[in-house]
Order: sequence, then C-alpha cells, then structure tokens
Amino acid sequence: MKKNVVKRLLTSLLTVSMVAMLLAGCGGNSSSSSSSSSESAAAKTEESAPAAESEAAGTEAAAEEGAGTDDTFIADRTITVQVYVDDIGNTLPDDLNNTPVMQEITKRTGIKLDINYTPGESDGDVLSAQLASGTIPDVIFCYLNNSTRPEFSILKKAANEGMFADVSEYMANSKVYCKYMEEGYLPADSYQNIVFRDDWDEPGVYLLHLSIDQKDTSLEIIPEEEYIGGMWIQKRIADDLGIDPKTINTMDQFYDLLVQIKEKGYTDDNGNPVYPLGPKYWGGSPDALQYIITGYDWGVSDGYNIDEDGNVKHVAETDYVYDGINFIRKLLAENLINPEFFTMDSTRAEEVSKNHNSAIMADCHNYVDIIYESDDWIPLGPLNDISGDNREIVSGKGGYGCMAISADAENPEEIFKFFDWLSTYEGQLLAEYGVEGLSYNMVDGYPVLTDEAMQHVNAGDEDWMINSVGAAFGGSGNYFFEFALTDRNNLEYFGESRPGANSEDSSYARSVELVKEYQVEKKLVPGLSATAYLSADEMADVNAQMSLLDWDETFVQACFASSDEEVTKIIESFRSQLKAAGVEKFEEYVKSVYEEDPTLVSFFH
Amino acid sequence: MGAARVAKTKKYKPPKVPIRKRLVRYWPLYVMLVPALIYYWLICYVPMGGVVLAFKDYSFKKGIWGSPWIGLQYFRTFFTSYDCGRLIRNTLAVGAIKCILEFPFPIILALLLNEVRNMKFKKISQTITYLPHFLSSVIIVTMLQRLLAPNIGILNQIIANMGGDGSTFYLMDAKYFYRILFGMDLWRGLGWDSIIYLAAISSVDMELYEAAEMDGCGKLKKMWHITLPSIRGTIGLLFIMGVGGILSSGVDQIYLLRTPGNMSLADTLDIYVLRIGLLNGQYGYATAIGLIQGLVGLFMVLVCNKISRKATEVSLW
Repeated sequence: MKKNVVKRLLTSLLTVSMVAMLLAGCGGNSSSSSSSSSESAAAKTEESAPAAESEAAGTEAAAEEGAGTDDTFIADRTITVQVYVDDIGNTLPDDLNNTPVMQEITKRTGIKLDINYTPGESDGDVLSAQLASGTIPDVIFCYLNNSTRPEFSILKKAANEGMFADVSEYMANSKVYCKYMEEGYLPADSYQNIVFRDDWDEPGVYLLHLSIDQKDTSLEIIPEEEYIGGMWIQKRIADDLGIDPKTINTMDQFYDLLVQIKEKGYTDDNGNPVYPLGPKYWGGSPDALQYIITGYDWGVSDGYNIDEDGNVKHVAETDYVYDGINFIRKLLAENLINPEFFTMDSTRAEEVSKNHNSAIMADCHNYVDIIYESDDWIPLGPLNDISGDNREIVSGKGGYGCMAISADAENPEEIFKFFDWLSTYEGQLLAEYGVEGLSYNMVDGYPVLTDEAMQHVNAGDEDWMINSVGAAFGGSGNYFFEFALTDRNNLEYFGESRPGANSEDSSYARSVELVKEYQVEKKLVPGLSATAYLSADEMADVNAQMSLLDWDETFVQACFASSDEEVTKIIESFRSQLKAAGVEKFEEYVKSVYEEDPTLVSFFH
Repeated sequence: MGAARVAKTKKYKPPKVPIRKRLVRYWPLYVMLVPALIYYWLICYVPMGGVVLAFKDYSFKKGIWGSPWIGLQYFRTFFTSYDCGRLIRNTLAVGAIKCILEFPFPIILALLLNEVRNMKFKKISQTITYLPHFLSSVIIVTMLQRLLAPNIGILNQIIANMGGDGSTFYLMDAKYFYRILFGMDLWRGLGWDSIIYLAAISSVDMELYEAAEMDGCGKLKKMWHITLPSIRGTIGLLFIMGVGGILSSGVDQIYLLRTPGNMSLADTLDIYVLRIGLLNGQYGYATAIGLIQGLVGLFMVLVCNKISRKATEVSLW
C-alpha cells in the first residue's frame, strides 16, 4: 500500500515537472519568435530609409535584401568559431555576447557566438596544427588573399579529406552567397581555385572566400577607399632638396635621390644620422623589394614571367636577377640603405620611422597614424616597372579571408545562414556601425555616427568601440565583424567608405587628401600569379618541393654576399634547387595555360 | 651518477628475494612508484607510437592509425633531396658545438667555484651564472640583435670608438654564425650545467685532499689528481647523454638567429622539420626526419657508451 502511494506521488511529480518543462520550452520559442518579428519590423524601418534614397542600383539591392529580414531568426544556438587572424584575436570583446551589437544580433537571429583565437608563432602554424589534430569547431576563419598564400595548401588538403562541410546546396537559396554563383562576380582565382574548384575528391563548395566587393572598382580611383602603399619620404627633406617626389620614377632618379640625401647629412629626432632608405614601417622584410627595385623586377608574376622566346622562366633563371641584386649591393656598400632593411623587428622599425631615422620609408600606407596624424610624410614615386610604366597594377576584384564550416558541425546550414545574413545590408549595418541610437542615427537614408561615437572613433578609443558597442567601425573596433563580411559596397550602402569617413572631423581626412593629391592611375593586368597554378593536382609533387624554396631569402642572401663570385654561387645554387624541385615541369604547365588563354596568367613586359 | 658504474669492482649483491615477497614487504614504495610509471608511460612512451607517421600518408580526418601506409617513401625523398647533405652537415656542426665544444666549460667553472673560499663571492658568482638559464631564447636573441646591430649596436659602437669599422652586420654574415651561437649558448647554460659537477665535487672525500696536501700537492695537482678523477663518472655519464643529441640542434635559438645572410649554416634538420611539418603540413615527412634524428642519437649513445666502458670504465649500463 505504502509502495503504491510513493509510486503515485513520484509519477505525479514527474508529470507536473514534464508539463512545466514543456510549457517553458514553448514559452521560450514564442518569446524568441516574437522578438524576432518585432525586430524585423524595426529592421524594415531601417531598410526603408536607404530605399527612399535609392537612385543607385546597389541601394535598391540593399533595400531588397532588407525586405528579406521578415524572418531573420535562424536558430537558438551558439556557434563556436575558431579564428586564425591575429587582428581578430587582439580585438575580441571581453564579453562578446553581452556587447550591444551581439545582443542585437542574438535578438534578431537567435545566434550567439563563441569566438576563439589561439596565438602562435604565426596564424598559419596554428591553423596547420589544429587542422592536423583532426577536429575543428563549428566554423573557422583565416587569412586568404588568394590561392598562392601558404595557408591554401593546408586548407585544400583538409577540404579534400572531408574536414569541411559542402555548402553548395545552401548557396542557391542564400541571400548573399548566391551571388558567388553568378558569372563574373567572383575574381577568377577565387572562383576557379578556391570556391568552385573542379578537382575536389568529392565535388562541392568547401571554402568561402570573403571580403569580395560587390562591384569591380579596381580601376576606379575612389579617394575615400584608396590605400596609397609603397615608399614615403619625409616632407622636410623633399622640400629642402626642392624635389617633387612624384617625378622620381626611374631607378637612376631614385639612386640619385638617395645619394643627395646622404650628402646633405640630415639627422633624426635624436640627432643621429638619417639613413636615406629605411625599412617598412611594420618591420624589415623582403616584401618591400617590390617598391624599391620595381624597374629591375622581371619576375612580375610572383617571380615568374615569359621571355622573348615565349618560355616561362623564374627570374633566378635569367640574368635580370643580377640587376636587382647589384642595385641593393650598391646601396649597402654606399651606406644608402639601413643594413637592417630586411631583418629589423617590428618594434624597432616603428621606432626608426617615428624618430624620422629613415629619410624614405620603404612601405607604409595612408591609414597609418604617422601618415594621417601629421604632415611629415608624403608618397614617393612610384617607380616605373619593367615596362617603364608606373601605373598601379591591379588584377580586378580580390578577396581577403576565408571561411570553412566543419563537416562535423551540427546543422551546418544554420551556420551558413547566419554568416550569409551577416553580409546582408542589415547585417553589415549592425556589424559596422553598431546599434541605431547608440552609435549612429539614420540621416537621409544613411547611417551617421553620433557625436559621442565620432569622438571615440577619432580618439581611437578601442575599448569603447570593442566593449561598449562591439561593432567593427571599419576595422578599428571588433575586427571579426569586418573580416567575416562579404559582398562589400560601403559607398552605396552607407554613403561613406568607413564609419565616420564623411565627417568633417574625421581623423582620416588627410588620408583622403593624400589620395586626391598623389594617387596614380591604375592598369589592369588580368590573370593569376604563375604560382597559383602550383596548386593544380598534376603539380602536387613539384609543389611539395617548391614550397621549401624561398626566393626572397636567397635574394637577400645574395645582396649580403661578400663578393660577386659568391653572389653567382648563391644564384647558381638556387637554380640547381629550382631544377631539382621540378621547375621545368611547372614552367611547361604554366606555358600551356598561358598559350591557351593569355588572360589566365599575369605576365607582362 | 647512480646509473653509472665502474667496471671490474666487486659489487655487493643482495640475496634474491621473490617478487611476490618484495611486493608484500615494500608495498608502500611500489604504490608510490605507480604515479611515476603512469607519467612516463603516458608522456614518454605512448606518444612514441606517433613515429608510425613516418611510414604513413597522414590524413587529417583519418588520423595517425587510419592513414594509409606508404613504406619508406619519406626516407627516400629526404636522402635524395638537394638539401640533405647540407642539412646534415649543418646539424652536425651545431651539434658538435653544443655537445663537444661547450662540454668542458661547465666543468672548468665548477672546478673554479670549488676553489673559491669566500662563500659570499661564491654564492653571488653562482647566482649570476645561473640567471641566463631562466631567460627565454626570444629575450636572449632580441638582446643579441640590439648588441650586435650594425652602427648602433654596443659592440659596433665600441669598435667605432676605437677607430674600427662599426658597420659590421654580425647576424647577417655567415662567418660569425657559429661564434654567436657558441657564445650565446655557453653564456646561457654555463652556470646551470655546472651545478651537477659542483654536486659531484662536494661528495669527494676530504681526506684525499688532506693526504695530497701532506704529500706536497698544490691546488692544480689536487684538481688534476683528485677532483677530476673523482667526478670522472659524472663527466662520462653527461657526455654520453649529451652526444645523443648531436643531431638535435634545438629549434628556438637557431630559428630566431636565422637570417637570410646566415641561413646557409643555420638551416638544420630541426628547422627543416619545422618548415615542412608546421608550415607546409607534411607531418609524415617531418616525422620521418625526426625519427632519423632519434635513431642517430640512439646509435651515438650506444657507440659512446661502449667506447667509454672500454676506455674509461665509465658507462651508462
């Protein structure tokens, strides 16, 4: 009898608790759906503003995307993200899901994010090690400008081995990523080698290239969006010498300028002698060679070019290689270049630039504080390339990052849908500007930063941008929300290149002014770098050997050789290594590709 | 020291006791041994199973055991590669510097410290020489970069002030690479490595010194005839163990010191493994080279042990 009473009691309790749980579950759903619908109404209002202004087609497209926000709810879940991007790791909020931006995103989509970053020797090393462990979280993000980056071979291997989910079936019905399927939308490299490769073991789409511009504006000069890279000269030195830095275009003129600077005996802020040519602002590196020996750089396609006989060659296999090496050796011998030009660590390089120890910085750009915060530096050149032309070479649209969803992720479609939504107008507005009323207000259909936000942005108040708002602010704040976007068209969507750029108080006003004054024309050289074709399946054995060779290091080694004989020995040794690695097989392959369609490889003379 | 033995001496052999009896009698000691055994099994032996990667085409998804076998392909690739000879030569050179050239210095320091009678000075000297051991390679190399920088580095400034050429870029010149590496590694490890010799010296019977003094031996003679022979076992043991690492140059120092100017000498097997393994994702190939290093190290230890046993009567086993 007693037993029966206890049984009944327990059964009743269990039933009551189950009913309570069910009710609670329903309550949760209804509240989230109601919040999403109320938010979608708000989102609609947001969309209506640019729609009213829509004269441009892009704005209409934005409005259409906005109309799709009736049902923005995706799932009530947390997506675990692993990023291999140091800039994201350095700008993650202390409490990501409690930032206003993330709370708004969760309200609209139900999604929360758990973003992880693991520091290491380099992001590529960490990516490689984590993929090799065989397990990754729901989705990964890494740098990937194009398929020639070293990370690509690792990503390709992982994709071929089934580590990433095939998202091809979700693309057709997506809001943004469906554009990737349109002909001509993606850059050729992104389309053929990254997103829609046709040589996967299992056909599909595994890697999504990010930061693709909606329109190809690579040949246009839009001052608010342009970056001026390359060499910068101290204005006081240029003025003192009475030169117009724009007219320094040939290698001889450049050399003469360095000699003139040396003879004048300028000193830096500490009274030490100035080096005529100093390293990159971000640290010594052979990368800067592209700006200082442009006129001698025959290997325009990542070290390769096609000779007069129609044969593809690496620059090391030609005598052109000695022009560049001898030029640098002359600069070193005459003390015209900082001897640590190639090796200086980033901290010291920044210091020598800030102390004005370099008369010319080998590389910097107009959105670096030492450039836009003072009038101390102005662009130099650029130098003419091997064809005698100093126009900036562009190859059309490009990408910047890559996203891949884990094959083991639960409901990969939800993850895909979320990042697809994030790149819609609605998602981009939230990601870039934050929450309306908090960090911006809509004025004539475009977002305008509030006065408070403008002050914080101009002051570079990262803590406010990252933790108090959580938006990207054009990359100055939470960088994840800058990096994870694609289908970019800031000018048409927001009326400015980055949040606050249109403001008269913008700290980037000088960056834009510099572009107006110094930006050179552009020329289109279509095609991929020759080394992009190393990722072809038939080149796998050559690629494995070639990836161990480092031409830049060999070049620098030759520059510091003790004698001309040693230079020849170093170059001959590299030629032998190239040969042993199978360079001839690769060159024949690239030649056949180029002969079939010259627009596929970026060769020019 | 305990593992070393001096041959041809009569050793005390305890009476044999059956294992079961020993387990029952000394069970608390065996229980205390269990965590150590588990530790060594998990941390030192289980990961050794990973060497099968050297014979497999590693797949991220299939893992170590599921990846297909490819036999000795990686070994063939390495030994027929263009860089093989240079890499082995460089590694042996660095190994020789670290294992052989640097070897006597901690012994000399220990002998010198042993002769110091002012305890305050001895302790201060010991502390100062130990300190660099606790600095990371990154800090040491960064300091070196500052010290040896052309024109603005302290060394170059001293040379320039004395009327010499202060523009030498030491880190970019291959001919200075071994000297820099030797100096840096010795400075870092000298004090720390001398501790074990000091401990060995402290256990030398003082009566031997007193007897020698009565025979008219000076400090040098006592050092030569008493101290050194007394710590011969320790010296031999550490040398044999050190030789095992002759093909392991150590990654961090070399990687940080490596510049385009000195890479012809600084490219060692460890750096090669790092580049092909971590940077290019060829884990199987990297494991194969690591296995070669391990096997050569083991071979060297066995050979040295045998030679040492015959020549000096000191051996590991």
